[in-house]
Amino acid sequence: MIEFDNVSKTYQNKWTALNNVSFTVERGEFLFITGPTGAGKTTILKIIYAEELPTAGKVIVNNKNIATIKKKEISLYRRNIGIIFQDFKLLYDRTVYENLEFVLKAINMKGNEIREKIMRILTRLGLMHKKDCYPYQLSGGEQQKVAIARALVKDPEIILADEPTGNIDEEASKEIINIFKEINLMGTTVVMATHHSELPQLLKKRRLHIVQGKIVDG
Amino acid sequence: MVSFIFKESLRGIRKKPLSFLLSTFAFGLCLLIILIFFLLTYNLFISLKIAYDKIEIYAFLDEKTSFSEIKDKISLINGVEEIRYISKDEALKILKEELKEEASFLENLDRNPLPPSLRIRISPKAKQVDEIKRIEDKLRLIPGIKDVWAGEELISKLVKVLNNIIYIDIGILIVVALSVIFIIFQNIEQSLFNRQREIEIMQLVGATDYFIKAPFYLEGILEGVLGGIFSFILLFIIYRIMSLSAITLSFPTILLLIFTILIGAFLGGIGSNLALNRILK
Repeated sequence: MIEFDNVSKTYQNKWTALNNVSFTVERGEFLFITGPTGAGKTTILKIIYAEELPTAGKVIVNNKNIATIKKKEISLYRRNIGIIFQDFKLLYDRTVYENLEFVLKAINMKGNEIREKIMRILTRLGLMHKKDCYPYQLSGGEQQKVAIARALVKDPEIILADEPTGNIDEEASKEIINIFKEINLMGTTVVMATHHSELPQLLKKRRLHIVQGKIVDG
Repeated sequence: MVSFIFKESLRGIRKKPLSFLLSTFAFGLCLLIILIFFLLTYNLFISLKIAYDKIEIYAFLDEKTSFSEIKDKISLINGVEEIRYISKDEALKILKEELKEEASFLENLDRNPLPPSLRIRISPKAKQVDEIKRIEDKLRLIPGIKDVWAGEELISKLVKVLNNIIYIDIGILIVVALSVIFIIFQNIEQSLFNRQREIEIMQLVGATDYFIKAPFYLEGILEGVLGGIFSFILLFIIYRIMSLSAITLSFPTILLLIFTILIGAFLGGIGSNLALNRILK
């Protein structure tokens, strides 16, 4: 489903974020990308969701070569990918419901379908009772659950998570990781970047360990 | 979809109402300058058109020539619409009327010095400098006509005045348009910075460029239209005050309102477009 073939990424011809990285992710797989801060984990995710282009090498996602996606096609391409960030990236002047509604309206979904999808995902993640709360009224773990709901609500085939437990306590982290496990069990491909190198072992999932832009393990 | 764009646009305005109001106010004031010039030009055009419509060719006759002798010859000239004969006595009467109190010196004349004349109205199509010159030349060839005054100089002056006014208007329109576009540009730029997170999220979830940009276009156009209406109200107040001081101007309400709204929307759209292209590359 995702294929990196000798991919390098250099920023402004000076700083090399990725150096000849090759790996594949199968459909329905759960892959951890681990490594210290600045190792290149986020760059891999950014290339997958076409925020960045590789300087060298080839990246194929869902049979599409990232380098050949035209600017106006990126929006359609991203509809199939759910992205979750460490800092949640929620809209703080909108309720939980409105945060999800905003996403579905932005991808031009119709009213009835929107309500149905939001209710379903909020129930699934145990957030129904928080649907009218604003993000600042929620704990870190709950905010991250809203961010996950927002990523899932459009039924993506791939979930990309960039340090999703970085800003939340241990207890909430466990819950979040369990949610990702469940998502994966339902058939969604999950790629998670984290500096917690013990997580792959705990979950018995494959990992790529990156140091200074190079895969050193996996 | 439309309601989403509209709601997002209003949400953006609600985030900075004072800034929106102030820039709409500034936009309206700038637009008022355009409107004042538009109104003055419109009135000048009306006055000039009236003067233009009154243009006639004067042909002065020999005293011995009778009107019936030459009438048919003149009628054959292309562009001649109507010929009116002014006898010597009638010419004197008209002169007296025009001179009013100063006409007393005419009483001492032992004979009427004014020649009989013709006032020739020409068709609107012929009211061009070249055409008038052509008619004038043909009149001069007719025996019995002593002199011709065609006023083509006056027409060419009128045309020059009209052209200059149009150039001045275009100049003012460009300068003011640039200013108002800059006002909208700054406001939309601020909106874009205020709503960076929404834009980022929309881009990440796969919203199309059109969806992301539309609320900002709408905001700029809305600001332009509101600024336009504001400037129209100000202009109307100015017009009413001027009417009180006996300055009568023609005020084409509907035309001005449509013009203001359209130009406001247009300039608002351009300002938004510039800001969006600069920030959202």
